Amino acid sequence: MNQDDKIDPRLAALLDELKPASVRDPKAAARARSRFLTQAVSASEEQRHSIWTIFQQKEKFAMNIIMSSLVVLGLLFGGSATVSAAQDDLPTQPLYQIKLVSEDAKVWFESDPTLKIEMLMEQAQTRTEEMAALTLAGVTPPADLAIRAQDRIQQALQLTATLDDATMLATLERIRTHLQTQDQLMLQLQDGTCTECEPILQRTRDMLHTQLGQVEDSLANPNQFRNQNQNQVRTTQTPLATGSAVTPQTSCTPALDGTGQQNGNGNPSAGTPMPQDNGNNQNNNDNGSGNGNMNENNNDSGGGDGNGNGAGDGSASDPGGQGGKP
Amino acid sequence: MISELDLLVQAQKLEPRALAEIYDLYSPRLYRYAVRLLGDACAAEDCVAETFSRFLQAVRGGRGPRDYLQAYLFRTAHNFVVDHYRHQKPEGILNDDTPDCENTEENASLNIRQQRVRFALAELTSEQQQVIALKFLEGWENDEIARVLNKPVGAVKSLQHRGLAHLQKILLDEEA
Repeated sequence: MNQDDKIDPRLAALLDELKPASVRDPKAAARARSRFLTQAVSASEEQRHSIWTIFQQKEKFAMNIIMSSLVVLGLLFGGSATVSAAQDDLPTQPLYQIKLVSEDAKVWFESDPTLKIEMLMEQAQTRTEEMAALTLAGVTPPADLAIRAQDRIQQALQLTATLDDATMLATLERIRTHLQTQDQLMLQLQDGTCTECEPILQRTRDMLHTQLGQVEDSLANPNQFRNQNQNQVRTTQTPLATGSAVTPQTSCTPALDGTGQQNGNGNPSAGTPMPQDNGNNQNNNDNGSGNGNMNENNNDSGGGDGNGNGAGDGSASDPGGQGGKP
Repeated sequence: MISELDLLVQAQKLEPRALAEIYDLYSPRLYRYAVRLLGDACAAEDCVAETFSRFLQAVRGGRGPRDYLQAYLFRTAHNFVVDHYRHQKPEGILNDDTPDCENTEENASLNIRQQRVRFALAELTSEQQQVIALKFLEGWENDEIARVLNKPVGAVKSLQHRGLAHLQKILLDEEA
């Protein structure tokens, strides 16, 4: 401090007494961080969706197909407003099934592989955000959220293997970032907010770590990644799973075993599939072909319990005005 | 290490990693600032949450800070503090955030003295409060404070001078 900062020592002493701020409660801090991250990830998701919408406008043909299918779906389920309204629903809410079907439709009709991969990763991220929202509301997330996330990631990885070298590497990098973000979100949720949720959160993290490991390996050895996945594509002729309306695939691997490890890439060892909350979702054939792909030919879940809808506290007011005197 | 400006650029694209990094970087400092001025851990947590929520909203709406992220965040946090005092009568703000200490009597005495200083600070104008708090509690330099207030350094010095004089009048002349 310079000459201008001279202050009466008694006043300085009084001000100094405010300095020793109390230690922040680590649990409260972790909860606050978790809430902010959920808000941040949601905001990021929304922005990406809007970017994708702009692209749709450019690709008129693709857009027409997508819009037509959404209109049909919308009519089937009670109007396009319903489809739109379903987008923020959680697994515990009635319109969640429509959300899943509309997601499947988007993937199904997307012809650009790069956009399709981005869409798949966004949907995987949406599943983890749903887990976050439920956890913050004190509701244990249904296990099939993690399975769905894993399914989307695996599909994205398989598609990535079909891209040219430069695009493949760049896409793998993006997938890695997606996975790290999801893992970070899961980590933040393991702060004791919902002790019943811990096992499913941990298993999801294990799954994400396995996928991250696979992406790291792929970045280190792209050719091997390409060969493995292209072989899988040839042997399985896998159409992109759309959840509700796909033909059963010939090869799949359980989502997660009891330790959260995935049976991928030629490891035919059996694993225990992640527990299902409704038991009607999967045709997972643990047939040991070990392609690391969790094929989910499901009827969609709608599982879950409770009424959790907490998605952070994001109050949305503009920065408050400069206050005057109290 | 990524610079504040780079972080801000990425945050404007709503990159979750950048937003998380910003949170980790500034949230402890904002909490400390808030708890010093509010004297209440819960209110300080609210302040931090509200500050980052407003920041996120601003970024989403394209109204976020273009530079000087730290200045923006502290300005927003201070608005919360001012609003907090504006909406609560002094007697309503009692510090229940007493740190664990064997000597509770001494603790209570400290608590009362702290509250007295907080109420005295709340008597100043918002800008004077910011200058005094950032300078003498957080140890900021005048140019950093000037960014928070969007004012020249000279104006900061002037605010500091008037603020200290007023504070002295409230706290010391009262004693005399």
